[in-house]
Amino acid sequence: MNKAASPLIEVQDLQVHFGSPAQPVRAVDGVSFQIAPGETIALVGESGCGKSVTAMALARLVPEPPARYVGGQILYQGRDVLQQDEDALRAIRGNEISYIFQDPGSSLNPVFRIGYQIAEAIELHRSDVPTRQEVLDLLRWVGMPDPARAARAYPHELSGGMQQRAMIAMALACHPRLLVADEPTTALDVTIQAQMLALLTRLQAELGMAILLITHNLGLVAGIAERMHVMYAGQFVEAGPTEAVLRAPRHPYTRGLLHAVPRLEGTRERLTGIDGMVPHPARLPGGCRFHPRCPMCQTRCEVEAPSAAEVDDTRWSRCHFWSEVPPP
Amino acid sequence: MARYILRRILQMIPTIFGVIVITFILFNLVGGSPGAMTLGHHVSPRLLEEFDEVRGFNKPLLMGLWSGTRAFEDADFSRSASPWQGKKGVQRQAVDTRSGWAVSFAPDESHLIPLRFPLHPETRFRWSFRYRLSEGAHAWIFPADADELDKDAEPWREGTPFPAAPDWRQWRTMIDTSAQPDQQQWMLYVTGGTLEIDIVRLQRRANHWFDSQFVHYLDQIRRFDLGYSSQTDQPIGQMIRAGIIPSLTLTVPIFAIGLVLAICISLVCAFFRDTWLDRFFVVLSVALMSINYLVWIIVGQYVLAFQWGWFPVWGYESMAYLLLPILIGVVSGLGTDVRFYRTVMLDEMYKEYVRTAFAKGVSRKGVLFKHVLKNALITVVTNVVIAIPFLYTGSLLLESFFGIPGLGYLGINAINSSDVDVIRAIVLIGSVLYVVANLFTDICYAWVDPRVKLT
Amino acid sequence: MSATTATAPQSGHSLWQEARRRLRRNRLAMACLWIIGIYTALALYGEGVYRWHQWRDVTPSYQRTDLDKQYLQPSYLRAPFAREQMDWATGETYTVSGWQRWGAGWTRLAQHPLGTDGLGRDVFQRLVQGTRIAYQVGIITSLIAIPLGVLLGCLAGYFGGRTDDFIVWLYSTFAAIPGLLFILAIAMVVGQGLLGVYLGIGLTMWVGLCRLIRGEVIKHRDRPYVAAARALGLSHVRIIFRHILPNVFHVVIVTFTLRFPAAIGTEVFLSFLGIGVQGEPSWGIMISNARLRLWHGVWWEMAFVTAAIFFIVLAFNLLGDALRDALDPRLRTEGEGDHE
Repeated sequence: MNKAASPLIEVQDLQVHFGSPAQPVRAVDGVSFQIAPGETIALVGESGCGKSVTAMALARLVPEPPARYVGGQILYQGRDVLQQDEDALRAIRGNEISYIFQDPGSSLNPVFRIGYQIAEAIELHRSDVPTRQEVLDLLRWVGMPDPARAARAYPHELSGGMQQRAMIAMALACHPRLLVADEPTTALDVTIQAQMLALLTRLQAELGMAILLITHNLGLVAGIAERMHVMYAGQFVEAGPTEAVLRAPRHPYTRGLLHAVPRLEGTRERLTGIDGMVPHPARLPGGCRFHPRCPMCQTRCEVEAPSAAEVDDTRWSRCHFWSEVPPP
Repeated sequence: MARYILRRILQMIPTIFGVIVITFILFNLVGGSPGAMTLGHHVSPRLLEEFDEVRGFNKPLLMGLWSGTRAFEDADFSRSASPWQGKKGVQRQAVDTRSGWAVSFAPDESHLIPLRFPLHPETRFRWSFRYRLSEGAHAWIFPADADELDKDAEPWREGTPFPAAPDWRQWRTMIDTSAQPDQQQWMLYVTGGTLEIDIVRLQRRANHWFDSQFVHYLDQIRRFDLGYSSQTDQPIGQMIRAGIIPSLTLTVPIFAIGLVLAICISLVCAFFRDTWLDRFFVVLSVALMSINYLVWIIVGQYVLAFQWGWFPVWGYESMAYLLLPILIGVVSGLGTDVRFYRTVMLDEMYKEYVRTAFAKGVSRKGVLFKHVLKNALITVVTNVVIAIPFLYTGSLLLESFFGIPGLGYLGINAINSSDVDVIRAIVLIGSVLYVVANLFTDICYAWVDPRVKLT
Repeated sequence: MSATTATAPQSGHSLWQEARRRLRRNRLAMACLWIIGIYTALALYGEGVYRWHQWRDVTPSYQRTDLDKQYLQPSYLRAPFAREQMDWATGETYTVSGWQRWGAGWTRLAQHPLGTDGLGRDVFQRLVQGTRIAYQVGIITSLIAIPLGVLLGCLAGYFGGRTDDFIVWLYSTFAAIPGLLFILAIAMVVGQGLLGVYLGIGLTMWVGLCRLIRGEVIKHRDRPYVAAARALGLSHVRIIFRHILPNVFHVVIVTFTLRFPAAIGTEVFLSFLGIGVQGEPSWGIMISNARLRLWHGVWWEMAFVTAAIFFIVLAFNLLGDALRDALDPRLRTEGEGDHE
């Protein structure tokens, strides 16, 4: 199913619930995956499917309350993140596991200067205060034009691309081993997106860190991720090497996602997409969670929830009829 | 920056003008006679007229030359023959006019027009009549200004005759009290038929077209002349100056202590949000704000000062006298403040930069006291600045209950004694302060929030 | 983000249905609704009593003075429950405490359950009349302020330009005048009685609502559905009142719920000062009377008036909070949003 080499982080049957224990909202419902050092993997799904919660849970960042970590383990270098105390967690956050978020404009604190925010990230994980030169070097490293000016600036004085570079500088200041990029390019212009992608790939090569990419952009996934996990309604529905999954999806949902992307080559078929919306986690349908929207839905799907079926030794699918999914 | 401030000051002008207009409408127009409001309805018209004369209330409202006088109230004949009620030879009868009623005057008699008090000297007045004379009748009013003599009519002594008219007619005559300072009696004399009067009016002439109440009011404001209290006859400016210090000694501590306490409690709530401590403070603050303010004061004074004797009950002699009012003020306002600042803090807690800070590895304390607090301070600072003008008006109830001679005490007394000018002055100054504070709020806002630029 | 997506409304549920569902689950809010319902029933009953006495042209029982019944304590504390009895066997007298004498106890319990005041008038009946007046003030001031605020807010937000300038000028002028003094001045100028109270509160209450509505309407003015309505050639009046207003109406509901207790509080204050109600037992007048008697140890009138005000204000405040959270959490820092 995956690499045997000791993984950097291993998530086992993670369950994150919101709402009251009596009526839980299962945002993440039994998710398992591993990330090897230096690997790039992607989490793909529509908004509201639980992929952001999964990503945030890796450093126990989903605020509790309202969230509750009901079950599962997140083993980071063999130790369970969910069992550790606040101090140990803080030592991991930003130091071992770093995050960059979708909208750099609101993710940076509006009332502190960029330079200060970066310096703070370093200072938290080191005993001494970083010099001004260190901060400038970091900014230059992430390709910030005129780092001195950027360090003095407040976030709103920078463009979206510059803000995201500042976020990356902040995230990578302590050379983390895992970078979680939560929709890192969604809020940016298309031209800037390509720059960011190139930047991330370069920095990954220099630091040898692993990247967990959260996105709904399949083009981005195809560009950098080695493996991908497709998430739907709090569960993974398909997982495998990126190329194989994109070429021959083994779950109707993955296929639907692919059909929602316009392509240049090939026949000019109609974009179909997927009917309906992601179900609310509090009101999940019975049987297969995808069955109300599934074009291949059969009676069995309405009553029996499928378990993960191995397609081959690198990939699996949560569909009763995975073998019948037509090519995209 | 300077240009921005200048522009804002220019923008303040319409608002301040609006406040002036509203206070003018409120006190000069809606209330009817400010004199009657202040002195009561049973005071002699002469006193009222003098009151109005001093304060310019007997001028026309906005502009114009003519305004009424209390010396002769406009007669409404539909109800009675006033002011000729019960006079010999005067009868009220139904006719075909607007009110449906007129008074008729018997012939060959002189009828005194009753004035309530001698007219103000050196002012010009005017009589207006709507009247008719039966065939062959003649009527005079005397004495009156000779300028207005109708040439065709036959003069009778020095009187001014009504021109003969079978139909309803308007007729006016001017009188000048400076010309006849001791002449205070006007008579109607009718011969050869009856005189019927539908409307009779005595009006006072202003010095010029813009010699009006409104202009008088503006002029007062221009001169910073707040007038005199009708209750104590002191200059209002002086009363207010005397009241500010006691008011501030009460309101500033209440405000400062309340603010610090509320922010501390709200930070505690934000830190322990969704725990029992947070919920306890939420419930407590809603409960605190649901208890009526009056009850706080009354029970506080009764229990803490009277029964337990912890504090002096009444007076303003030393700091000790302020302690209880300050305590009551802080406690009664705490609920609202805690709720507000807690919401501000929690709103910030859900912002995305908080998530970033946690992801960086900042501790809960660090996030709250550095990242969140600095953002929340933007709201706090603007909220504080805008509250400053309300410190000036003092606390109406606390001051009057505890006998602190501040502006609140002044205000309550003025309301109890209907001292219009005092209320108007306090309202006016409070409004101007508020407008100025608004400007400072915007400046402070730009000062604490790097995202805001004043342009 | 996670929390918001997890509670995002499901398709097919309108804002109102969603809000009603959330509200119904909120036990505290439902309790508040019950309390408000009880007070409303009491107010209606009080109105009935008031009308009936007026129609019969007799002094209502809550106004009838009875000097024999001065300062009676609340019924269950009163002495008549305890009575001396003689033991026939021994001939000794002993005291039977109140609760052992059920038969007489129950009927007496209904007599002046909350005691009487200094003129022997029943505190409970006077409280009911106070509820009537509080409701009257709350409702009538809302009837003045809500149409004014909604209309001006819609006009300013929708048309912008000169109209907006004028209306903003108007409300900033009203906002500049110190609130309580302004209300007092209006009430004083209009004259004693409820009319002054209505006008004073009504004419200051519309300002906040107008500002909120204007802000909301500006947000909606440029939404595609309004552009679509305009493209269809609908009249401005129709667009404002049929298309935009329903989308911003929750602001009105929340404001009403939160301003109602404030109006009650102000009425109490004005009546206490003798500017409000004349000759009727308003809560403010009751406090004013009870205040003097408190110094003689007559605590119950004060205690029950306080409790009466406390519960209705509490219920409205909590319900308002719940409504606001259910309908539009952004309104939470209402009034401070004008800087943004």
